Amino acid sequence: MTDLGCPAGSPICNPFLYIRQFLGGILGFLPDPLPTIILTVLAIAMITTLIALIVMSQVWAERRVVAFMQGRLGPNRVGPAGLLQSVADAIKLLAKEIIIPYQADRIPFMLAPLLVLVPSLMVWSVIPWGPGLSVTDLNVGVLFILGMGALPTIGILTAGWASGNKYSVLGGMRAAAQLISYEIPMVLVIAIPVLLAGSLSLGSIVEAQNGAWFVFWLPVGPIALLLFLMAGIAEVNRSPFDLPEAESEIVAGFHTEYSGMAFALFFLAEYANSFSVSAMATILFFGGWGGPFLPPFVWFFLKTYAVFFVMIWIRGTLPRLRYDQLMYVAWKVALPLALVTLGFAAIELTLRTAAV
Amino acid sequence: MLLPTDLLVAGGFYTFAALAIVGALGLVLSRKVFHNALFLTVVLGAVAGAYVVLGADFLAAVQILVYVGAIMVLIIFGIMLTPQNVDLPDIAGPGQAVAGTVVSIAIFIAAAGVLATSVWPRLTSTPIDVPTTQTIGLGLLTTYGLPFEIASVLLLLAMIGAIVVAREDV
Repeated sequence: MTDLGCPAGSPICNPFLYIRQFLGGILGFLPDPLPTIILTVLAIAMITTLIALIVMSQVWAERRVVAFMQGRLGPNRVGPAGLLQSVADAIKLLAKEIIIPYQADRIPFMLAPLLVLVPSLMVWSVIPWGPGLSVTDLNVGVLFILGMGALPTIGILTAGWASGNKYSVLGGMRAAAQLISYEIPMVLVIAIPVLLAGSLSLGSIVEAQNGAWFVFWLPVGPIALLLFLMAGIAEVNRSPFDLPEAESEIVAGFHTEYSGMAFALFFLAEYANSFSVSAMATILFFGGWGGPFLPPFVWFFLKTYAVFFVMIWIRGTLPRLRYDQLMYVAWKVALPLALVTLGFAAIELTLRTAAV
Repeated sequence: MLLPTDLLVAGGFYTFAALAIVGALGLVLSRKVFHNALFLTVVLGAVAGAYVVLGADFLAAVQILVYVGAIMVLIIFGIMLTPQNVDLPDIAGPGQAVAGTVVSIAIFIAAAGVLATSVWPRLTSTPIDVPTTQTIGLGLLTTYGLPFEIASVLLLLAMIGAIVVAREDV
């Protein structure tokens, strides 16, 4: 599926690789590691900027889609179809004052948003947008993403604790309990595409789905995808698993005391994380950048936004779970199901390879 | 002759090493339990960074996933469940401070002596080119199959033991 109508080497299909070669040629006169370093820094800057833009598009999409699902109009005043609303929000947040509460532990308080945001951005250094198109293709890419996905919990706990506010502490504890619980089914489910592809590198996993997407690997594919989406939504604290910031119970949870840009960083991290979960679902189950006629990175974004749309849909539809229900689902439903699915995937893979 | 890449590796390694030392000092010297936990996170993260520089990418990823992602979260969770304001009171008398200093200096001298006099094996051959994950996976399930299984059973026993201890109504 990868190269139908779009040869991998052609600059139209992969303009980024073309730009990289072009810049590499210009910087050729510099001594050995310098061009690589400069190009990597440029790639990092590009991806960071891109994520900020993606988050703005996500916020707009989420508000509009949820509004339409609930029979409302949503923001439609600023710019055509409210497109500039996110820009206005960003400017407002930048201009606001950051208030540090008297009770707060100042340094951890200001460090916490960074601890949450930086790992969320680091995930994007290994996510492949197209063939060979990631800042770096680690051969432990999947493990790296899992590790980076677990780091923000430390930031959330720090935010909750450093705020010196009981609701913040409760929000932080909820986040930690939730993340530990859903990390286990998440790891087990991610092991299934890894098993089928025989590699931990995200690029190889996408290439292994050249013939058929892993979601169509019946019967384990769809179940694994469902479990992955559930654990993913729980890990990024989105509704219906948004108990760490349930406003009807604990004000705004761990970010109750944050304002201005410090709050905006949490906000940015949350949407960057939901986009990474969508991207991971695309890579692990929907064949990543593979698809006919269109350039690979267009396919990647189409699929990722489609998965994100489903996440908005879920948010617009389902009510929030109660806390014990959340834990019950994680330990007594998701975990055994993930174990059984993983076992089935292993058996099926053995049978299929034996049959060939 | 040092290549520029070698310089980068050395620079990266010493940066992470320095970060780990600063973190360890903060961990020992800070008086707030929560700050101690954060400094421990710094140490573990810096060690993971050093692994990356040394080419042990699998180890680095697992270090982050297990130590920073799981164990540190549990430690911080434990701290938050204990009563607030656990800033350690100054209960140690002057005698304790003196004894503590003497013992730490003795341990430091012993450890530094061992580290300084031992001969460190140097990698003579070029590093293997196959992915580290593949080598580790094959090793765990073939050559080191028995130790791997024994470790698994031991961990399982520990987990069951923890559950038995924690559950009072059994």
